[in-house]
Amino acid sequence: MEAHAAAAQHHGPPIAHQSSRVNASVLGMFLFIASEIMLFGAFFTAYFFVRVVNGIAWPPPQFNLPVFVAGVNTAILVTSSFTMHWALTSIKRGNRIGLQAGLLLTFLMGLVFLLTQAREYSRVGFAPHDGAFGTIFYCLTGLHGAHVFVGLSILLFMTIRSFRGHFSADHHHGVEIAGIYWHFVDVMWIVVYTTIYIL
Amino acid sequence: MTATALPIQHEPLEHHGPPAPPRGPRRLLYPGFLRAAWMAALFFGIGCAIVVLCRWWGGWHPIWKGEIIVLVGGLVAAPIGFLSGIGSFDYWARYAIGAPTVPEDHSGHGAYSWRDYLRVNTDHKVIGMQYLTTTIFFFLAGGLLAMLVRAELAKPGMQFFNNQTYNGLFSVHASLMIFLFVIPAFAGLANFVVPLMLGAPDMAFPRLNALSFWLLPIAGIMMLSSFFVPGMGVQWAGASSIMTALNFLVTIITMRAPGMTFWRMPLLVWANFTTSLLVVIATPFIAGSQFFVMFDRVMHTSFFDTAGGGYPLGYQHIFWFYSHPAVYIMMLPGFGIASEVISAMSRKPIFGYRLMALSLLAILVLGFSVWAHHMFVSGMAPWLRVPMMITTLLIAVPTGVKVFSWLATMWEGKIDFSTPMLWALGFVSMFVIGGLSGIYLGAVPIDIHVSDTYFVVAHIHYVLFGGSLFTIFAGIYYWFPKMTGRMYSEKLGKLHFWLTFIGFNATFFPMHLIGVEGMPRRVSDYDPRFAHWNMFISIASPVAGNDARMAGVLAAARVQLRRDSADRRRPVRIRRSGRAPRHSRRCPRARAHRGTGGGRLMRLRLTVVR
Repeated sequence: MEAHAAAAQHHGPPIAHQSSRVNASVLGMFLFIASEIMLFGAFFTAYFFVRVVNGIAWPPPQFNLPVFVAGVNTAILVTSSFTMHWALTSIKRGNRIGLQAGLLLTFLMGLVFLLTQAREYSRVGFAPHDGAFGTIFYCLTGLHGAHVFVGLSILLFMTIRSFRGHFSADHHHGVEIAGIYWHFVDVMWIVVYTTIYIL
Repeated sequence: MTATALPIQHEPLEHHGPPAPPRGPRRLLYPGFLRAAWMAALFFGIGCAIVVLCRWWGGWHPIWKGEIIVLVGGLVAAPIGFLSGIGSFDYWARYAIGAPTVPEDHSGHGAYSWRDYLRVNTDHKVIGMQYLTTTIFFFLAGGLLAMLVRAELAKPGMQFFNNQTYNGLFSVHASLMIFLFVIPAFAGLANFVVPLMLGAPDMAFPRLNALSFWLLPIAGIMMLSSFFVPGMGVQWAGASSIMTALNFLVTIITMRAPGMTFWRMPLLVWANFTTSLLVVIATPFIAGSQFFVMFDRVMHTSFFDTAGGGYPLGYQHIFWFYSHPAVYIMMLPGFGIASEVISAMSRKPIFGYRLMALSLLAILVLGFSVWAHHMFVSGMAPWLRVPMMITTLLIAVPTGVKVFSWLATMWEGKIDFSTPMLWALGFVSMFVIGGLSGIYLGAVPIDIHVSDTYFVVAHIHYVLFGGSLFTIFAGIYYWFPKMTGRMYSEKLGKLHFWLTFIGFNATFFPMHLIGVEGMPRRVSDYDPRFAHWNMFISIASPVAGNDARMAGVLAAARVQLRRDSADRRRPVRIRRSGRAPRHSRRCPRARAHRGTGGGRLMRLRLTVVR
């Protein structure tokens, strides 16, 4: 009888048989990230053609890259990955305050990163149409910035949900998946920073 | 028979229908085309406002720049507005702000009238039908463009179009056929069939599934209108196919029925598994290449502009790094369909099941290592030629394994030459011809001779028309009874096959000859010595291209059988667990043997509904 009542409560298609230990949404996020890596791969291929095959000066003598400011920015983004992890481990232990603080901090640091990046664009002294160096610089950092923006939107939604009391020790899937994406954005920035600014 | 499926059927009928749209002005807030219309306009306005604000803030002049407005407002913001209006994001929007989500009630599942196909519907069968009808529409549009191309080419000299329009005609023909017909038609068939074969209740992410369908009409309209305005059709279609592929992968990995191990999956599922891997990995590259071109045009960047230090050949490398795997994206699901049809219609299990699956994986891996064989004459580094030739010729091995396995499946089988089988046999024979000319083209010396001639056109049509298209038709005819509960006319179906088969060969075989003699492709005018063959091809092509026939055959099936069943007065309806084909003497039977474990499940479902 109980089962029948549960069946009446259940909406949508019948529950699927779980044929893998991996959770469907986590797997979906990993596949999405694989696809994102390939998108970055296309941009890095363009970078390779311009910088290695064509061998242009990097950066061209008349331009300067703000390596130090971007380095501080990198540190901010890396720290935000740790606060994200803190948020996730907190909610796994049922600590909602830790979750809220962690998500909020992560969101704010991501925002600071994005605003610094925009500020850098307005002061860097060259534009996308100033030759291949400008093209690659703006398109790679811009593509990454777009990903930060998407990640920030997801973080914002999760923060709102956490403040409305949605997650618990047993149900924190949204945070976990948002976290995976945020870590991806972070690691990707380290690659972009290394190839564009340092090397 | 079994009690498990009964509760679904015994629910009161009024629970099934979607909630009626509210009357009065509140109707504007109800997800549907009305809301889509005003939200698309609103988002277009928001997009324009963002552009104007950014340009004003950055001090760029002019503040109102047409190209950027079209790009951001028209090609990005307005489609998102349309999708939000039609209701693709409703659930996610509620989830995102932490509001109570509307439970996924049965209104989102199944179709109870034709109107249910015109809204966001999360049922995989409805989405499959939506995909198929949409793709057939764009297929006819693409076919019409091909007819216009042939009309121009009937005689040497300029007939109807100028060079610019002619370039547009064949480019849009190709992109429509690839992105709006072959790839989504396979996705549609797989959407319908794969969850049933796996014993899964639906796809893993039904809402994502619905979203990826609704991206398609947007992409198609952008491609069709690209004669007049710049478009982003490829990017939207690419996004759609990535979402679908991701969905298939997660469904296949996490939602198989108990006992359905990987090595028991039907080959169609295997084919879609490998195809989806290809899509997820390769498709971002074409998005990248199209974005680069767009940036070069609109923002005057220098990806491919030598003056600014760009690398023009990079476009071809990035483009073909997707577009070569893309030919397998357009072929592997067809291999799956052919395997199903040939084995069922020969009344034998597929020969070499495990090797068939492994050869799919081999094609997947090799497919990424051959892209530069499209570029032998492009001026790329010469040392790349021979490695690419070797990997290209290596692909003939797994493909050969598949062809011989199909032949061995038919060997000593009790072959039923009904319409789907004819299409599948047509596919095997035509694909072998296309594969052989592929070996010619893969070999560097011959390729240098016939590069950019009609030999290439013949080859691509033998593998895509004779290959992909024939298998799509095989699949549509094979599952038509399962999808609609009605049987097509076997006579008309066979007529359709033979007309297409003869017309196809009459159109494309002569292209080999004029290609070897040196007629270049992609030009609207040619040397008068090719005039006779071109006139012949132009006369033959409507026989191949007029596939409005198929729509006709299927429509005839509906009308005729509707009359048959008029006495029962049952509404046309697709149930959650499908509907048994009632009128078919020869409806394809679900099979239960190793390699097609889904067959047993499918038959179980059929009996329950009956």
